[in-house]
Parts: sequence; structure tokens; C-alpha cells
Amino acid sequence: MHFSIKNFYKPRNAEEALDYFQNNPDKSVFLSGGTSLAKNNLSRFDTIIDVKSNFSKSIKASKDYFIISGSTNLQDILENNELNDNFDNFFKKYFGLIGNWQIRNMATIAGSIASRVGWSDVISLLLLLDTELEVVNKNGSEWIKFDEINKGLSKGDLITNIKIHKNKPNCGYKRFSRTEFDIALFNCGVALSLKENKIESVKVVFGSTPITGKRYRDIENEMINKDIYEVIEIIPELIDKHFDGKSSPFISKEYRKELAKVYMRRLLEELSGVKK
Amino acid sequence: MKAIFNINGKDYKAEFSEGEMLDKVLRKIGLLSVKHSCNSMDCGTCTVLIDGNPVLSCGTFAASAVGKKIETVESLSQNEKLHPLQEAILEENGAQCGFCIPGFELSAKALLEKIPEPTEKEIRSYMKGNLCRCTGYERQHKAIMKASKKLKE
Repeated sequence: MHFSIKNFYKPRNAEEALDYFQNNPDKSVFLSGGTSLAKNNLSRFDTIIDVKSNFSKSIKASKDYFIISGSTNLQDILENNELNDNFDNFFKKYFGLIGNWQIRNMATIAGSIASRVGWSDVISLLLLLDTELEVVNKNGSEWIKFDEINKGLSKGDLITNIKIHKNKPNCGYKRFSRTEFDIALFNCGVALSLKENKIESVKVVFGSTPITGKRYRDIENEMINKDIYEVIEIIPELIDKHFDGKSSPFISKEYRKELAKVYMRRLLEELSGVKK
Repeated sequence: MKAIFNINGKDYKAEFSEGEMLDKVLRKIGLLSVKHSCNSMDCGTCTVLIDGNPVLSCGTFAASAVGKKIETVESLSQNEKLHPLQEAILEENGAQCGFCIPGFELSAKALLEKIPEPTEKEIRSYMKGNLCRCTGYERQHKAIMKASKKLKE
């Protein structure tokens, strides 16, 4: 029981939610699924604004992109046929690795992003796709590139929609956790485009508490226009040079670094067909 | 705060605090099948169905569940007759200490409603959020297969 909570609001739309927030910005928090909020950090707040219960849940397709409303839960996304058909079962394969059925029914896509926790598989996975976020705050609404969430989201911002462009990359994803449905202690994703064994474009993503999932552009830049065989050989060097994972009570930064080397090598081999 | 919860098709009035979790409120109401166990959304013994979907009540704010259809394992047997899933668990010896069974049965019920004839792989995948420290899962999974056939008959 959280005795510090004095108010629990269930607004019908973003405007109402922001009004509640503005009444008490220092002590209010948006609840969007609440799988992390339910157990952590609640003592700092006295007002919960539930932006899941009454908000609409939808996945809409247009010619070039999908729009997923922020309060859509992860299980509904995993099971959406249109999304999976377009992205070669990306969501079925990789959202299925997140938690378990119950957790995926509770967790929303916006909540999984807004918390910006290092172990979020959702953040690392969406970084592999061409993703944008619609963010609403007291100044209005704007779309931000998903790559910029670490600097583009501020306190009081509400993620209302997620736009995913239909250009499906050749990508793969791996995660490491203590048990099958535990949080990821480390995750790694690669999206790769090759032309005659030369790397045309690449995205390299690592997520590991306490660092929120992010693209490693220094690594990507060193891979561009290089031969895939050559890159596979220099992965340890690239990781040693650029990987900035930290230690947590469950796993050391040295171990994370070794995982980064192994997973990245395996992903590059799988994606390029160099080794089956 | 005070509110009415719709549980197993009946309305229950309850008084609870704004930050209180659903498992505690359900137990206060008298639905003791909902276990307060790990309290960290790991074990699945507090599983209930909200609008037909399994969720963990130890990680769900009670206030969020107001206005929704909540089901606990008490809803399964009707007129003193066991649900086919419960019969199958008995027949397959799928329960030993029984602590995990209420949560397990609710997840299994929701699974059979979603996928009436699940494969072994689907059962493993959908049921992995319900931990059992007695059975080793084999008998429970057999029971789900059997219940699937019973429900078809």
C-alpha cells in the first residue's frame, strides 16, 4: 500500500491529463500500465494520473506508416496481424521475449518508452525501426524522432502516439536475462543493409541498466562502407573503444562488454548470412 | 476512496486507499484465492482476469480496475460443478500444494478462450508467467490439453 498517494485521476483525454498534471507538477506522475511505477519510486508522488484506463487503444495503418496509440498494450501489438505482416513478424518474434503474457497485457507502449529504463526491450527494439513519437505537453504537441528520446522527453510530457514507418529493415535482436521472463540485463539489436558484402547502412543498439537503450553511432560510423567480413573481425576492438555500459548489482560492465561482443558478432553473422 | 468493483459478475462495494493494489482489495473483499505472494510481479499467483485478459493484481492499482470486469477463480465452477479445466487438473494430478492453481487456472482459461486448441509450444509460451514449484509443469500442461478436448465436446 502506498500511503503517500492522495489523488488518483482517470482523465478521458490528453488535455484533461495535462490539466491534472499542471495542478501539481512536482508530485504528479502519469500511470501508463504502471509495471515499473507500481513498485518503484512512488514515495516521491502524491498524485497518480492514469492515462491508460480511459484512453483509446488503436493500431492504424496508412500507406506509409502505422500509428499506435500510446495506451495500446504490448500484447495487442504482438498479436496485430497487419503489423506483423508488414514487419516480417518482428513484433511476434521480439515483443514475445518481453516479460510474460500478464506483463504484456499490463504494460503499454508509451509507458515502456516514457520510463526510459535501461532494461526496456521496447526502447531498443523501436530504435531499430524508423520510429517517431507524438509528445503532448503544456506548449502543444510535436513529433520527435525516436532516436532523440534521451534528450527530447521532459517532465510533464505525455506520449500519445507512436508512428512506425513501413520500411522494414533487415534486423535482429538478442537479450540476456536471469530467467526467460525477467527484465533484460543486457540487450542488443542490429539493423543492416549490405551491397555486395559492403555495409551500406547500419544501426547498432545496446540497452543495459543503468543506461537507457541507445544507438551507438560511433560504432555505426566505423562500420559504414566496410566489408562485412572485415567488420566481424574488428567487433571486439569497436566495442572496447565505444561501448559505455555500466555495472549494476546483477551484472558487471566487463560482462556486459563481453556480451556486446558476442551478440553483435552473432547478429552480424545471422543478418549477413556469413555463417548459419 | 470508495468504489464498486464488478467481480465475477457481481458488484462489490469496497473502501481502499488511492495507492492500494488490487490483490489486497480483492482479499479484503473475501476473495482469498487471489494470493499475495511475491509482490513483485514475478510469480503469477495473484493473476486475475480483467476484461478477459490475465493481469497481475499485485501490480495493478485497485483504482484502475474500477469499471472493469474482474474475474477470479471463484467464477469458474458453477452450481457446485467444476469447470472442465478444473476437472482436467484433478484427473491429471496437475495440483500438489495448490498455491499457484488459482492464478494458473485463470491464465489457462484465458488461453483456451483465445486459442481453443493450443499446441504444447503455445501452452509453454502463454503459461510461463505462472510459476509452480511442485509439479514441474508437465501435468499442468497435459491438463490444459485435456481441458481443450473437454471444452470441444
